[in-house]
Amino acid sequence: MLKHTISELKEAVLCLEAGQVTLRYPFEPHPPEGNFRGKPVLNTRKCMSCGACGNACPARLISITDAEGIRTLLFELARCTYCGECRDACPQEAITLSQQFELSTASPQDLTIRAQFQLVMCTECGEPIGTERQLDLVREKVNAASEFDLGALDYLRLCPACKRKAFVRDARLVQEVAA
Amino acid sequence: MNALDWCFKKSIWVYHVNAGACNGCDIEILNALTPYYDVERFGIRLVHTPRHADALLVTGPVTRQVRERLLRLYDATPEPKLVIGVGSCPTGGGIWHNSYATVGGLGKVLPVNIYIPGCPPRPEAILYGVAQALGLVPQQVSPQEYAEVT
Amino acid sequence: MSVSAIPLAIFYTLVFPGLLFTGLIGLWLTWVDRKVTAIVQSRVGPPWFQPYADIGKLLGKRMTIPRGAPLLGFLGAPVLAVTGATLTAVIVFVALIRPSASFVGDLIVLVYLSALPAIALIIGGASSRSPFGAIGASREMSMVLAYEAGFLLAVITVMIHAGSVRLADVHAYQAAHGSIAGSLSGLLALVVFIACTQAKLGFLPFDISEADTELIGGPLAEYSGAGLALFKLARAMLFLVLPTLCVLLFLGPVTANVASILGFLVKLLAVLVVVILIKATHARLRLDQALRFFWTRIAVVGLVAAGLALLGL
Repeated sequence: MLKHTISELKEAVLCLEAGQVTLRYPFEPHPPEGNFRGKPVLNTRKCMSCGACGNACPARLISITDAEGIRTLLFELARCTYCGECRDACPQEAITLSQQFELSTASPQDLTIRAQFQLVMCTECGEPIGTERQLDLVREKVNAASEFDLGALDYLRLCPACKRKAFVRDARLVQEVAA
Repeated sequence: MNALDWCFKKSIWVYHVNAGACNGCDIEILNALTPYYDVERFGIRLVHTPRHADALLVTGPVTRQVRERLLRLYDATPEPKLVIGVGSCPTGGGIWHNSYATVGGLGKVLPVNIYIPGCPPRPEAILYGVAQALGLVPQQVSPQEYAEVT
Repeated sequence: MSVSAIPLAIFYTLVFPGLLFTGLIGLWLTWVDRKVTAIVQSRVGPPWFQPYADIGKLLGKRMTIPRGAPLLGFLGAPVLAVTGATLTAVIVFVALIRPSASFVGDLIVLVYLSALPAIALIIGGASSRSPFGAIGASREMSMVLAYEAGFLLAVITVMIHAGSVRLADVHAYQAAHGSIAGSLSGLLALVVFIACTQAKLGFLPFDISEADTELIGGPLAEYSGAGLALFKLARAMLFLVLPTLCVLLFLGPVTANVASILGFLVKLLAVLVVVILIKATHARLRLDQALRFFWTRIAVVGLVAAGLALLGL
């Protein structure tokens, strides 16, 4: 017992070499490493409200609802596990997991992201097609893919059912097919 | 703020309750007690019985089996007390929110003073949350709202 | 004792050097304990006012009393602990300040009074109506039997050296012949005294009765609020009184000049740091290991010290 005591006291003196290892947080910030997964942030300029994130989320906290001409994306981040599946699933890379980790709150409703987008209605039948951003993206991708100026036509403002009907009756496309 | 309130702010003894957690948040609470983060600077001490405790640190989504025991632990803690939910599971049920085996979050069982989300939360986040429960630091999250409507 | 001496006695007991003085200084010494432990563990540790904030907070909490617990035992135990610590402090310090107030046999009375906080823990644990309290009380009983024997043998060695049972005579002997720890028997008795102090204060490695992780506080399991505050206050007061007694019995006399008082404070700090370092670097012993240690090692060394003192060494 005495040998043990003396060796322990020698160890205590050795530990003094380490000095003080305590971080000065919270008096100084202590940011996490680069790939830390903190609170998700939605970049509404890029989001096209496709719903891929909602499919991917394991906690099923992303909901997309259409009501009265407005599409609402609701992220109830109270039960978010910060896994990053939504970020990986988003085709527009609109979701990023920020470095913010000081998320404490007395009411979990403070941890919500709500984004509302105006829905575009079909000019023929009045059914909702999608959001303006989605139509812009379609226009970009089609213009980049073909020499045909689809933007000059107003197919974009038609829902899929009316679009099929218009394709069949359009004279310019009949010419195209013949050529 | 009278003398007793000051004493309560400066000396918080916490009792850790695992209400069905996966132990991730429990390990981060343990990390907060190590010399690297050193919560004893703020007077926080871990005690092993709820009778000595001022704050309950609850992890886990409150399974059905632990619910009754959790209520007994809450009653055993003398006033004034704080209830702190650590992790995403007490905050909203986590990924077990619609499971048959859990109650779905701590708010359905106890009156909670503060939630500390994270899966698991960093020890710094736990420190920040306890400091926020004592009124020492401000809240940093707020809802993000965006409307692109005409 | 005349009637006119009663107010002075009350002042001694309650203010200086009794409850208020020993309580405040003892609580500050618990901060010294936590700070030295923090330094050894490479961290910062609490601010200096932490023990006062702890006691203040405990006094502000609602005290829960187990249903069916005998109130005299449950509520009387913390009061008994503080009483024992206060009276020990009064006797030790008054004998230092006013040697004429020291009476024959006060060393023996000190041994009894310093055991009162431990006995109060036993009573409190047994009145808790909780299995943790019962086990804690029985373990504390075994430990008290073990370490009080060593404690008494160390005090007997001092009494043999000084040739008297009066505390003031021990001071006078050391003033004349140098510190008792200078002799072989005195040195052995000092080691025994420090080991028994470690156990009396309920510090690692001998805190088996109050094991937080094994017994959930043992006898203190059901205490909260003011009862817990009084037990902690009694422990803090003993943390001042027992090392002071160690320095006064073994490490030389204290006279009224500044150099001697500074030397006393340095020796007191040294004894405290030894106790704190042993506490910070050791793991808890099991009950049978602790009992074996005290009965076969400490008591034997104490007997050897007493024997050597009788032989004049």
